[in-house]
Amino acid sequence: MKLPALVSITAGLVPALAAGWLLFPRLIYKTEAQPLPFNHKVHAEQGMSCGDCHAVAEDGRFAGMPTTESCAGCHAEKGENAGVNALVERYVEPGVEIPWLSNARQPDNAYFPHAAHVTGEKVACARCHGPHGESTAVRPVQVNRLSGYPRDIWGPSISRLRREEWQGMKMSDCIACHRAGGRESACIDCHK
Amino acid sequence: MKLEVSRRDLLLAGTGAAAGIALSPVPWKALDDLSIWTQRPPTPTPRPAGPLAFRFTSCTLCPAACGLKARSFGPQPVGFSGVPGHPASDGGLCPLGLTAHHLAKHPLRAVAPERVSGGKREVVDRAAASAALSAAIAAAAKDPKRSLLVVDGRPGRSLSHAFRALAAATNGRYAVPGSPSPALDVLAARFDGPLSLGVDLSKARRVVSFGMPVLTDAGTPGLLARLRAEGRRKPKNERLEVVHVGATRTKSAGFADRFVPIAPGTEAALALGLAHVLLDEKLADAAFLAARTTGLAGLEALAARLAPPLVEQKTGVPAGDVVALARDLAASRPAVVLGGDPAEPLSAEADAAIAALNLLLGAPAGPLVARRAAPAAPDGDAKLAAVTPLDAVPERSVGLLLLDGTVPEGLVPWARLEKLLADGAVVASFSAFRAGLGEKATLLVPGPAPLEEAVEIDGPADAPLATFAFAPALLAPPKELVLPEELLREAAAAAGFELPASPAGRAAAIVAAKRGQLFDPSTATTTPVSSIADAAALETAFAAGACWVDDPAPAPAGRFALLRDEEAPRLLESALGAPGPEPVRVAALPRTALSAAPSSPLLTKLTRETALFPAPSAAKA
Repeated sequence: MKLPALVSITAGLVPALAAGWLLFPRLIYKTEAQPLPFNHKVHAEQGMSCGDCHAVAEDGRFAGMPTTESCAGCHAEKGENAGVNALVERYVEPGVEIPWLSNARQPDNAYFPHAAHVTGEKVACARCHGPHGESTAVRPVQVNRLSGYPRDIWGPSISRLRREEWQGMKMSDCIACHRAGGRESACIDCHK
Repeated sequence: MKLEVSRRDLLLAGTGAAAGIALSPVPWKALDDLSIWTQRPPTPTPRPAGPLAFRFTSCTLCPAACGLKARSFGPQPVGFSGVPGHPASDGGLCPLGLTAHHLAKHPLRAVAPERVSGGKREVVDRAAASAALSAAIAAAAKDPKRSLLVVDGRPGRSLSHAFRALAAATNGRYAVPGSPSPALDVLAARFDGPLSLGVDLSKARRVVSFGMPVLTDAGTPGLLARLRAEGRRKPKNERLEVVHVGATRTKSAGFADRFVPIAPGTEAALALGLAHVLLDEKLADAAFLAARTTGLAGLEALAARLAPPLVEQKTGVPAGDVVALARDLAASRPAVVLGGDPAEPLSAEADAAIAALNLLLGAPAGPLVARRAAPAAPDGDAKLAAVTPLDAVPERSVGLLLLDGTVPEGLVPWARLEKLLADGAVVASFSAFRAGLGEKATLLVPGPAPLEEAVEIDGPADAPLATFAFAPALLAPPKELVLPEELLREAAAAAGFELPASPAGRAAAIVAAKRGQLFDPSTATTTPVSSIADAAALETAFAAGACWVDDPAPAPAGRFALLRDEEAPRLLESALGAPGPEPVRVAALPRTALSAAPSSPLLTKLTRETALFPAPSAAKA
């Protein structure tokens, strides 16, 4: 029996669509685990804010990921839970920095000053980083095998359809926000 | 029932699959990721870590020597801006300076000596490079028909002293790039005494450039850009405007307020045509002409022959435009006319006509100011070669061409140097890059990249006031780098020529002269040199990025000759010569004439897409 043309086309179309929409996103990203579990929500409920660990210093420098020393300020000894035990054993006691992986690492050719945005323009942390403070675990980082950058730069949706304004940190997202705020940019503002 | 899968079915399935892929994220996501992958630099700049600090130095990429303010994290500068009030640049900075910190990681950067033999480039060690250079020095010293020629892009440094000593010891020659402003030199030569002139753009309301790329790579482009940016805030009749006259619409011409295309080689005709209108309509600066010039009658007779309709025939510039430009220059005084550049010099007649035009406009009483050279350390007893003009070097007479890393190909084109080389000549270069003249070397001994070494830098010879800085280094050079002066001395010694120690004491010479001010970039204030304790204190200030600036020279008493003897017939012949072809109206590719370093890979993006308006000076007292 000869196959109808539509069946033949469909036999190619459907698997290709499935591969493109479902399999491709899994293949293009590799997952890298964080060194430790961390519960932002628990810390927020203790009264801590973003700036307590991710501070912008007076001279404009951004603290980025907190140092082992700042974690050890509260968690210097084992016994609380498995996560704290691992922190103390692997990093506090040997005096080694925790190799956190950032979901928001920008390309090397982009200069992004937190001071200008947070201190200067009072942009809320959640505007770009989402409700990170409500998370109960730090996500592993999904790194693009081709570009080398985290998935959060592109956004969770492979189609770039954003449900939330903080989903995605590509140049077009930055420019859209700048334009909405009435600020046109020159190349050299971000690419030093 | 047996299912038959034919080739047709497979083709249809393939078509369906292609359509499916096209309708999925695969093509455009893969393209986006690949483009990012291709943009990742092979040697990315290390992520800045360390306290934020601002450091100061002078840009060494071209003779303008603009002030640089570096925003640094720890040891790594991450961005530059101009220094308000800086004597050389007054807050201005051009795209080259803005990206100076990229050059240490440029793809064409070389860190180890390289030798080209048999068409192949190979990395060699220090000993091999020294031996090769030593052998070439010895051979050049023995054979006067294959002598040494050193070309130094930045004379006056301690390395320059070593170059001159080597040239003298080997009966070789020492050359430097030509004057940055030939037309100014011609004008100064018409004074009835010794005179050097500089251009004070802050005193000008009109700058007419006959072919000189003043907005991109001649003079101090960053300063001119800043003055124009400031001028935009003023009423139109108070703004500084730049008019570019030339046969080619260069990048500088494109940036100018007006571009006047003329037929090639007719600059003298246009300049004399403008002189005609100024004299005919009594728009010239009569008081200046009466008090400070001679030969007006001769110039009037000459200019009378170049009426605007004739000028239009010769140059292609409509007569009405000639008249309008002359009237605008007169009405917008102070005005200054600049001409040519060393890479593309105008004719002697054009330079003479431009000099006459400046005198008619009274420019020496305005934007053209007398200046002095900065105090220099004495040469001591060492035997040093004098400067030889490149034109005086016979063709095919050079067996060893030694190119300093500061020689820009835009000012000393390779075609000009190549003619001087004997067969099998060695071309040794100290450039940090396999670019420009560095690419032509058969022995490349790379020196430090910009910002990697402290450099003595005099300001440009056509600046209104002499400046000097000992620009501190902001980056550490690679450990394996061989310093050119060390290798030169080592190779010369091995060839039997002990070079004398270079005189220290530039700071001592400045302190002893008791002249000038010391500009502190961190506070934008100046201190008289006379109040500085000693040379050590001055050197400490230089190490922090300070810049010395001369006091204004006294205005010279004397007169300028509008025309030299026997000059009128030559000028007339040049102006009335056959008309050239139609003016060319294409855009020329940008060239960085004054810098020996290649451009940052980011540079073309910056100049295409970025409106650069340097911040206005905040430091005027």
